[in-house]
Amino acid sequence: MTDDAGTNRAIDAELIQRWKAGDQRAATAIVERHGTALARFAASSGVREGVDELVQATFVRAFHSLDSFRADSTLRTWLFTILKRLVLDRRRAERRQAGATELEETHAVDEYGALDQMIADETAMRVRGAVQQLLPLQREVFLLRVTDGMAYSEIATVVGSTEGACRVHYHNAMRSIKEKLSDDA
Amino acid sequence: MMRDCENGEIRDLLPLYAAGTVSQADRATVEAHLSGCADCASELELLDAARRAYPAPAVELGAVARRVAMASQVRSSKPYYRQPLWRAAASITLFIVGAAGVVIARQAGEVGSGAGGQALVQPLDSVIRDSAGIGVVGPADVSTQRGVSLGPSLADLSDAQIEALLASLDGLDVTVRAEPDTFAVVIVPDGGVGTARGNR
Repeated sequence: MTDDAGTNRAIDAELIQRWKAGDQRAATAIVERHGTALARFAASSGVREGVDELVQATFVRAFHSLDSFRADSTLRTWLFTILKRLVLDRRRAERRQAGATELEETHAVDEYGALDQMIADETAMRVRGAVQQLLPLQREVFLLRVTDGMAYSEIATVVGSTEGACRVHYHNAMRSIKEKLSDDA
Repeated sequence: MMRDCENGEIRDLLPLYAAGTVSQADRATVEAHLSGCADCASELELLDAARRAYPAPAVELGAVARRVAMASQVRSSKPYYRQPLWRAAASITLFIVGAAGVVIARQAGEVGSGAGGQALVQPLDSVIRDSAGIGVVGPADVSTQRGVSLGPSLADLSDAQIEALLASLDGLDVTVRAEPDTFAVVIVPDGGVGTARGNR
């Protein structure tokens, strides 16, 4: 665990205690600490619309079951796990509405169109193009590692895999991205 | 193609360094390595580009926090009957009601059985004593005159007196009331028999 991770864990633990004691400002502080990372994770998971609602639903569900949070993982990891389930639930609902019967996570990479305009530089666009061609699990592990700086143990919790497997996925993803970028050059 | 640095430990730390989650000590180690490693510097540029490629969408965290706080308050407020104070009050009330019920039942038992079933007859003694023929006996009389010696009972009546008593009972208004009245049988020593309905 890094020093920052230890500090963050302590801060979250204190905020949780304050919230349980009835301090609503602690809930606000928790939202402000983790809301942006959750929003980015939602977007990188293919959510185009209603990111606010998803983030909100994540926190509501988390606060509702905060008593069951045992701090085996960090609060952020736990929140990511909740958000991931909500994203999958929403995607299943959308598939059902569309008449599809199977959940295909690979479709998520096609749902990034709205973000194109937010990326200013060409290098970032090329890297994103390479990342989008990764296998879904590789992409998820890579982004959790790179955009959120998560430890492999935390990533394993979020994606439901092992730490060793996540390490392999990350390095395979990095190699694949480098190959794609070389091919494009 | 970009080459991979052979220092796996540093390469593992690079994404954490890019994300700003690396420890102070590891940060210094990474920076020292970066100053002399072009491969890791190139990989770090790639990681920075990846971070820019996946920006966080704009979310009004203040608004989200307010809605979450409201939802959390609603969920955390239990119905009044599930709150500790209400439960304690309900328990105490139930205990008091139960205890009062036991006391009343015991008193009623003493009146009904402790006096040998003489409760209705018992007041007649005083009625007979205080009035010329017809008296009024209410529940209060019953409860306050326990232990008084008995006067005449049905066993002391002659056949004629019993017939007269039954005849007078037949003539009573038998409209059913919500609660039972107390009837007093008034037996006059000179042979007259009457009944009286307790005032309510």
